[in-house]
Amino acid sequence: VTAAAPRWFRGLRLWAKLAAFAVLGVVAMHAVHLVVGNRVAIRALARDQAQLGGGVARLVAGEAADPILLHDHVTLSEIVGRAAAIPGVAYCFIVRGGAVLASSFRNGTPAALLEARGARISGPIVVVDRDVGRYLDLEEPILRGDAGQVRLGIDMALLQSTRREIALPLGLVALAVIVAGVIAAVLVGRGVARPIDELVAAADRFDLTSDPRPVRPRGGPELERLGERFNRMMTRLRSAFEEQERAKQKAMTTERLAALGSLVAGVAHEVNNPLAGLKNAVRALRLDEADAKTRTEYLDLMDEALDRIREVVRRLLEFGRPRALEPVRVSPRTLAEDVTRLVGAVLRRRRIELATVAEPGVDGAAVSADPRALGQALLNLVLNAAYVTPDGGRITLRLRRRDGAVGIAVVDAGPGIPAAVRHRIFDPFFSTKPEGEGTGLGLSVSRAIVDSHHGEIEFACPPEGGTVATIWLPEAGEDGARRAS
Amino acid sequence: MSGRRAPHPRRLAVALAASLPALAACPASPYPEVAVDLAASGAVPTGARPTNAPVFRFSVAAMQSPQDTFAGYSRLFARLAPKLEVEIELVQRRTYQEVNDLLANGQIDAALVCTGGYVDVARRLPGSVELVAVPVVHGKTTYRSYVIVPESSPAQEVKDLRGKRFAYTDDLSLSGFGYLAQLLREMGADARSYFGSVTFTHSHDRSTEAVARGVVDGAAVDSLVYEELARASPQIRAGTRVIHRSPEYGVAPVVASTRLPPERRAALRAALLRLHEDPEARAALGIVGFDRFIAPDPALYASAAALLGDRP
Repeated sequence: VTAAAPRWFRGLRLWAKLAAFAVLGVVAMHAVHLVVGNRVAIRALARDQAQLGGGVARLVAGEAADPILLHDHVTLSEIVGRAAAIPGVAYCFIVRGGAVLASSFRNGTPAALLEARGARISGPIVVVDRDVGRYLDLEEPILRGDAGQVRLGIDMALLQSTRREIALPLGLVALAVIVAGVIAAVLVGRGVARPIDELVAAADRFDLTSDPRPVRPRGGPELERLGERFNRMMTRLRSAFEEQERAKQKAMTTERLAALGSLVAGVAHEVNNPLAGLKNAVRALRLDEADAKTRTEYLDLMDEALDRIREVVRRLLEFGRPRALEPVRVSPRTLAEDVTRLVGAVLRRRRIELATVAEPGVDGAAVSADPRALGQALLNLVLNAAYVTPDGGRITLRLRRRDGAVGIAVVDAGPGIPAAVRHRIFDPFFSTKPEGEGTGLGLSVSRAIVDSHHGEIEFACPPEGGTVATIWLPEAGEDGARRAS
Repeated sequence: MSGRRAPHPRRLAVALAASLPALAACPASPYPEVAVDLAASGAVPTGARPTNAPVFRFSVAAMQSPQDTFAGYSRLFARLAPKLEVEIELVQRRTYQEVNDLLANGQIDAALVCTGGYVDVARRLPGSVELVAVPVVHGKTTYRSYVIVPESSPAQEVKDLRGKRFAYTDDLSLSGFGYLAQLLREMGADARSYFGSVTFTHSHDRSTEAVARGVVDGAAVDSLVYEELARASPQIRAGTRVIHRSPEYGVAPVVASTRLPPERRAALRAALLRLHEDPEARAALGIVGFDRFIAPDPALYASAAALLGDRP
């Protein structure tokens, strides 16, 4: 029904639909009753009238025979007058050889009435006088027709009023049934809809982050079963959500560690240089060849090297420590520079150039983001790009802007993403890297981070080759947006 | 859902809606309908239509009821009309007097009048009518007056009916009134007060019928009409009894108004006298109880004239 029903009907409440069907059914039934019942009754009544009228006409014919033969027009006129005075008789007249011998019409008998009955029709006919009246016209021969015919008209208005009398109680009954049907439909519809409404409310209330409150719908075993399954489903959803949250946390940690592993080489290099400087300074100081001024210089160098090491260690510590998002207003360029600093050493070793270019209008735009979390997401993209970029290649961080959003695109010149795996790249543990080289969690974690910033990650494979992975984030604050445009 | 062809609710609704006019199409009335416009229709005045065709107006006095007279004489006149080369209109009146008046006025051309009626018009308006022909009934040109009573009646003669309910035919009727009135007068009684109640039925068959049904205790009737009824109806035969028979009188003759031209009177007589030669006319004559018509003998009515002549 729902597929065939018009849109407005589909939008109706259940009880309204049931009521509509009830009303439709009763109205259709009543219409059939009226049409069929009325017709049957009217035909029976018409036959009855014809029979009674025929009796009157025969009586008139018997009475009129002698006066006709005796040319007694006074008596004839009296007979016709008496017949016409019978309630329900509209007219009565006697014709003989085309002449009217007596008639209840004071000013002459209408010629149309005389001619209404062709020579062949002798049974009852219904004379319809435009819309003014309907008469059941009966003809009775006098002395087998030798002395003329009696014509008697029965006013069928009686039938019409009978029809109305039949229709009125039928209509009242139909009205009562309609009212009862609507009430029943409302009660039944409400009875069915109430537990559904309760379930809908429970579904609306359902919060994955808190334990579900079980529903107890009333209205029969079917609905109780539905409620029970609904409760179970909520519990399962809640468990699945918790499981998913735990897995997400775990994946982020895993990925962080994996990224950490990737960084180790760079970190070692970062630490190595100051360590080498420190070592030299310590050796020089130990030789005690230097004067006070030189010692001071060495100590400054050592201090500087220690600062650099401490900075590297701090960044590593920060990277590995899970914590809640702390969004701040930050420009995309800052985010790009942060990640450049983080991976710069690694990429330099492979002679990969990492450049940041800004499309016009981007400068001044800002997003609300946790630089550390978003840095990790961006780092993942850059590391993926680096993985497919040959040594001596180039990776570009392109700062983009579109309506209400700011994007940081990581553009590489690699082979692009094969069409067959495009739909799977966000799946956890999916990886195109050889066994042991990737966790398969990078992009799923990146997406989780971007999702938590109400942003999205977009992948494009332009025809000229390579991959463009863009993190789009909502632009923060109207000031920045206005300045940018 | 898509694999199964479920009945489409909209199609069902359409089918239902389509079947309603089909039901409505069966006519409300079992009789044919004719549309007219009575208000715009011209009116036909009440009254007989005047005719331009030459009509011979022939009356038959109501010795029988108008309907029996009509049934019998219509057929006879249908055979007579071509012989006279005119259309014959059967004119009936309730009383003999009315027929006599029409004859005297020339409003009718001819009539089969009862004996009493003929004697009356010949006496009151001499020369206004002419005897044309006399019917022969069962070989005779005479008839009687009968006094009849119900079979169960204890009455054996007329005086037994004194104070009872009695039916006469017409005060101009010889057999239905004149003869008995004369008889009662001779008994020193009055025809209208002798009986307890008196009814004039204006036809012999209605009088006979009234006796058979016990509506009256006795009646004076035409012997020819009574015999014919008794022959045809077992009810009359078994339900009535004749307690008095009059002498014979001349039967009811055919007379013509003397306002009718003599040659047309002669033509009527010639046609009547030869009517029995036509087999179909003979059958029609049989229906009204006649063998044939013969030329009249005025002496035939002398006894009747004598009986009625000294009436007050």
